[in-house]
Amino acid sequence: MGKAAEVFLGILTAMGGFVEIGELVFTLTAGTRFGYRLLWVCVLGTVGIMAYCEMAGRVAAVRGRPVFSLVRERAGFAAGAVTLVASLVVSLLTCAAEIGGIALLWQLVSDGPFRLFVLLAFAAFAIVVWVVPFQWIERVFGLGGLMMIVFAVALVSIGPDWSEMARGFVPRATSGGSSRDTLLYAYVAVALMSSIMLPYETYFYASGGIEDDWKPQDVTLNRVVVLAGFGLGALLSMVLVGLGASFFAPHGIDPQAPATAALAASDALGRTGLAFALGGMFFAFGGAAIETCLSGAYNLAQFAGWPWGKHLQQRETPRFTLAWIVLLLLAALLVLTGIDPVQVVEYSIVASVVVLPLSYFPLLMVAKDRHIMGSHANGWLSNVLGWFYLVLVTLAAAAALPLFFLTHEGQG
Amino acid sequence: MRISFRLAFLLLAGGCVAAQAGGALDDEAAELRIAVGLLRSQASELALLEQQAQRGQVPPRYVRAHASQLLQAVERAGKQLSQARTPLSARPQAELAQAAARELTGELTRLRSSGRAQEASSRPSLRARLQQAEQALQPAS
Repeated sequence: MGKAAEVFLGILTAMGGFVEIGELVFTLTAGTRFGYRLLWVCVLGTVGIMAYCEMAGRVAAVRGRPVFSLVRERAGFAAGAVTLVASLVVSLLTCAAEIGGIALLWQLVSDGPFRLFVLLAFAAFAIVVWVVPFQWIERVFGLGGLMMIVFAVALVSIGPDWSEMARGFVPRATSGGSSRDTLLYAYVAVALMSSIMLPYETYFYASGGIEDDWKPQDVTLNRVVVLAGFGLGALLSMVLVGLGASFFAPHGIDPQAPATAALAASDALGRTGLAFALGGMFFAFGGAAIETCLSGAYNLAQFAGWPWGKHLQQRETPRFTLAWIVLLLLAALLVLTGIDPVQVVEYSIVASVVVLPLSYFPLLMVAKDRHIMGSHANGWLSNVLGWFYLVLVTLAAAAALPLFFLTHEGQG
Repeated sequence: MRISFRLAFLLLAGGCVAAQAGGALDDEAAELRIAVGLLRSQASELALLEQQAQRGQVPPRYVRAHASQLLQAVERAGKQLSQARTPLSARPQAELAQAAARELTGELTRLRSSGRAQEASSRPSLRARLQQAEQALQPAS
């Protein structure tokens, strides 16, 4: 494959894989509850995930080092182990939420028992991860996720208030609301940012760079894929905020489930729109389920120093293989307990924001170190963005739990 | 670096303590208001689903499956409603919401088996009643 085609495919894959169930729920919630006023958070979160994924990809390309190998080296065993456990819990919760979302989608299409679909989702993803090569998993699920563009078509056909939407990119506090509204605004802002900056994306992206055998000359490819792919993916999250504001809020609906989200597409485009929405969500959630279980296994293997990677044979990576199977199984079992998948989404997003600073700090330290990275060390812009987002996610991590409880788990 | 990690853990612990203290800010009817809000949203969703079913924008098979998922959500909201702390002054809203939950359950059960929307829907008035109840439960700013 030519370089241009590789870059193009990388951009499309990154774009299609940007939105998962947590982001779907929180972008729609943000739009429904606060109109377009939280669109600026989408921009803020997207620049943050771009900055850190670019660093993680660059470190992987230049030094061949994934995130958790750096965490252990830089933070020491004890602090690194705490970060590892926290990240595994987040990966497990996120994977469970995605599997729950997939089972809900399959149930919509074939009207069968939910628990059966959870088991089927586990079996299907286990086979896919076992059999399908890494690049093809990325491409099939990333490109399939592009079907979610149907939501953009739905938004345009609804015809939102574009000028009001443009004003949403300027940060504004809630005006004239009660302290409860202010707390809820802050909670949704933190959760929305966290759903865009999910930590597993950085782990998976860096490990993926090593799976793809990136070399220092791929630093530019990394930058282009991150900027264009994530940038276009962020447009989709802004579209979802727009749909929340212009479609669901006027109908008096707080969309919390994939089935509800699909109604926006079917309202604008009928059965075709419905099919694209369900298909797009399937690939987006499916891709995220695979990425989270692999990401958890990558983290564990990298921390423990085990051989890892889909590019190796399973017999060469027995502990890594066992780790992703166990994670996928535990995620399925968690959903089988009968817990509401949407509730799992809430927990996974709040847990994610708490893990972010623990993972980002060691990464920033390595990416800016000229002794390690040589001429590929952070420039001034990467350093400014790195420190700014590190402070921001640390504050968000400190605020996340109090806001979660003060707003009755984000319900108001 | 280790000091920074300790600082992060301290911040996290501080957050947890603040969250515990947060319970004091609670308003009395919050649990009830949240449950009523869920039912209002579910009644609105049912109205939209029926509207789309009547227009042929979604197939009957999908309507049945969606109604089935919505029914489960209504049952969860109903359970939340029955467990919610209800101050004496909010009894009328609680009773209205319980009646609405029963009505919604009945409608969704019917839709789940038929997959066809009724011509004259009562959902707009149901939604309006729940919305009124939700507004009455808002705490004074």
